[in-house]
Amino acid sequence: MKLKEENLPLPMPSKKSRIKLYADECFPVPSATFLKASGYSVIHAYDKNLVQKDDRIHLLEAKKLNRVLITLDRDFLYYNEVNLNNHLGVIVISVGTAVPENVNKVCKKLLKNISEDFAKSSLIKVTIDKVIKIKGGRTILEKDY
Amino acid sequence: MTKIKSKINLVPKSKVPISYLLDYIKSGLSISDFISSYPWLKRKDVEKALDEIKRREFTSSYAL
Repeated sequence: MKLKEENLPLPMPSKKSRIKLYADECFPVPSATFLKASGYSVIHAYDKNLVQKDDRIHLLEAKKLNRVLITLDRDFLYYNEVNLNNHLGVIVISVGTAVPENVNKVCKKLLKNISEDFAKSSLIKVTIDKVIKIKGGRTILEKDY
Repeated sequence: MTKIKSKINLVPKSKVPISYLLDYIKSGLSISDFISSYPWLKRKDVEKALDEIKRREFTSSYAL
């Protein structure tokens, strides 16, 4: 089977920049597998039997595992009241479609630009060509790629 | 934490939005592809969600 370019694993990110991720149940399992094949450490909610759980549970689990939460769930963009202090952060992949091929494409292009330090205590919105850092409900950085 | 999604916009017995299923269908993917992405979902629940999409004449305004 010939793999499409967006489904080929990412070049291995450097150890320094590689973020450890916890994927919630909205994040497609094939995209979590794609990230693992690309050298990222990813734990999916399904691995932890944490499906059909409230978003709050996923936030707590990511914190407990000391990982950045990655999700497609745009609800996280509106949880302004959630305090992400002492949390490794939340990455919301907002690509307009939930199909793994597109999710992989965006992750391949943009995830390498997000370090644990960058994500810490923040909400990071990732679109097809932008990384937007939101802290305390305010956009503090918007970068085009 | 304010709940944004309404239960009606989710695949039955899950937290996965129906709009994701619509994305798969629009991209020419199948129910089986959708279940591969969310393997804890039951086929009958995904089929119910698909019926719901057809019933509503689903538009982007439903997609959260």
